[in-house]
Amino acid sequence: MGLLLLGLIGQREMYGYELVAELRRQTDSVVDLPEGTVYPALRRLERQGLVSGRWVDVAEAPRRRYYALTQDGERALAAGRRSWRRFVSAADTILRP
Amino acid sequence: MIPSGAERRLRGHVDRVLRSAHVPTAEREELAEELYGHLVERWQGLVRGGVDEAAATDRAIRDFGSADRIGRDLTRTYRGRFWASTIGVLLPATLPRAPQPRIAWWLGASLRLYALFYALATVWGVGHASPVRAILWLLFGAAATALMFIAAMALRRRQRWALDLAIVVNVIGFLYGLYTMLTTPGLISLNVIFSGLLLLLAASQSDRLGLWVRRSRPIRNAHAVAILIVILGGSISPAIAGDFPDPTQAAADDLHITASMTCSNEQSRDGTVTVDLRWDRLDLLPGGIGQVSGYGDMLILEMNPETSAPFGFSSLIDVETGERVAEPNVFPPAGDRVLQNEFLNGPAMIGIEHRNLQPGRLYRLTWEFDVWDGVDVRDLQAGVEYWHLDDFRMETLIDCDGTVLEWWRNPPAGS
Repeated sequence: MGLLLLGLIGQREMYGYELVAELRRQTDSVVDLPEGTVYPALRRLERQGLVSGRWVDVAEAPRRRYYALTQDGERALAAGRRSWRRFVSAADTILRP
Repeated sequence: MIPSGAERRLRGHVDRVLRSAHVPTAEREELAEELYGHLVERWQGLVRGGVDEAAATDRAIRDFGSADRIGRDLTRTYRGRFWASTIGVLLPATLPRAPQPRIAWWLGASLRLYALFYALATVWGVGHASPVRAILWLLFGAAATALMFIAAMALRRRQRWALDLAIVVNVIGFLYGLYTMLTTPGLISLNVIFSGLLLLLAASQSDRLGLWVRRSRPIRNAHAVAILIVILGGSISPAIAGDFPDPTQAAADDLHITASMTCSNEQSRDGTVTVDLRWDRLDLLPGGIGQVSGYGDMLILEMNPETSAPFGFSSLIDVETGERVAEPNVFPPAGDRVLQNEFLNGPAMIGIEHRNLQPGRLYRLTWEFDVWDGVDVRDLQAGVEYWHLDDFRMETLIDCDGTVLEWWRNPPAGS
């Protein structure tokens, strides 16, 4: 979950609801978790210094908290991508028909 | 904007999440705003998609996920996995708005009071028990103490498990007090009065207490069993710690002891009893870190005062160096038990500072004794006992012809 969120936030700055919607859209609903679970994960990433949040006011609606990658977050995302590709490649070797 | 009914339900769901989540106060408000904003946007999207308002509210809440699960995830984020799976489960994050019934307050106070007693008993026990026993005592005592403090907080937060635990703790306190009263004539136990009164009041106000905890979060059976083990373990550890096997303590097999008796011819009518002893290994901190002095072992000679008596002052000697390591007429801690034996007198008893001994060394004690006129030395018998702390004693019976009986092992008298 953490790596997926880093990947999405790496595309552009997003807020919680938008992240859930993008996660569902970009994975064709393959990843469809309870929506609220994204917030503990976001707070964890923020506490780890991988993302930073800022509030943005919205007309006639509750304000939104947008998240962006920090430099540490960019490094973590790059490392996570490498490790994920290694895993997929290794699994693919075994599972390929 | 959304209708007030939907807003109330969506805010209620956010409240439930935050009630389950141990989040720093400074962040609660912002988190609530963020979660509520999400629910509102979801609700608006559903309504725009043609779902009616009531159904959109239900759906937004359902899609958001269980308040307990998200609350637990948030707790794990801020407090760590271990904390979330223990205290986070037992203790809701926020205090209820409803006033606490008086009896619930008193039950909480009893938990804090018993926690204090457990803490004091644990500190004393850890300071006076041998290492493994001290660790056992510390584990159960500290866990039980912490658990009762948490339960007192959880009772304020209307948790049924804490109410049940308060009842169990007071029942244990009442029974312990009753046992103490029955075994100590004339004693009035405060436990019996305090816990007995509380249990009566709790029984008479069980309806109010039931209402107080009616919205309690259920706990898993595994947690309930763990709580019971901790409380029972903490309650009985003072009683069982002393008998718990501790491999850091020497056993009877580590002691090699022999005794012999010599009797001179019938003209002089005197004789000696010689005891040789050697420990393969000695106890590690047998009286705990809190006991820095005091006698541990005893060596005792028993003779029938109608036929003979030891005389002079014999010491326990290190055979190799000739150094005295123990003297007679010093009173070991277990002396009160020795005094109950009418056949003993001063010179026949040696208190041995356990820390003065060293493993592998041979120690010897020689008693001289007088035989009364008219007594046939062939009828003389002497008993020799070695008492090791409160753990065991070794005994034998000897006569002038050699050992009559083999050494045998007994639990200490009075134990």
